[in-house]
Amino acid sequence: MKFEKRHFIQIIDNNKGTIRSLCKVYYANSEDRKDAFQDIILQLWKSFDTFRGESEISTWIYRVSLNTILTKKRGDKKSISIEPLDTPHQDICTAKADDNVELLYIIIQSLKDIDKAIIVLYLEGYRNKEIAEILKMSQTNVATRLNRLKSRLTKKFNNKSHAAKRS
Amino acid sequence: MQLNDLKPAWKQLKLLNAMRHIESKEILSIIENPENTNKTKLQRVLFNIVMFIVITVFCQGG
Repeated sequence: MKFEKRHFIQIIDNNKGTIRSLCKVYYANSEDRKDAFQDIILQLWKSFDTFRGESEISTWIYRVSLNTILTKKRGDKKSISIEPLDTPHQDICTAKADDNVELLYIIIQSLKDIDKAIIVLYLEGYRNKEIAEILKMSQTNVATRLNRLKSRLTKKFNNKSHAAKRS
Repeated sequence: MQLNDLKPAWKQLKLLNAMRHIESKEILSIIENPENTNKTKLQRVLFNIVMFIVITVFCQGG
């Protein structure tokens, strides 16, 4: 096996958790997840030659993975409309979110595709400027969306804790 | 609770999803034979269409 392929496999192996997590937050169906995983691997391989190490490997993984998923989602005519966060989302209040991973999963599932990407990158620790570069958006757009999401989520958490106290 | 409080949860989710081993063969087959992947997808779409037609035909109410 060529060194290039071995190196690529090693990179995928080191970052499989990130790629699988991204597939999981965007696709509920296991077959769709598998397809998305394969598409991402293929896109990463195609752009592997052009990756010159100017950014971190993890940033490159996020950039290619998220753009592959978002392009796939845009082209997917089967995709159903996703319920926006500002409509009452019963799951957040009623699910047994004793575990933060479960809560995170429920919250991300309720977001629009582009907002999912912004939140995931924010949770990964990227700044607005970096998020904007990765998602090819303006920094202002990212900042506005992120602030809106933060305030809505905080409101939801507060409502949830008030409801829990009352019951 | 703030959004920042969920940062450890994202790390944990990644760790959980990294636990399952990935075979080198699996990655190699994706990058060396991408047409196989497309063929499998097409087969699945065709199978779903056929199943949909069959179910529609046989489950029509009288």
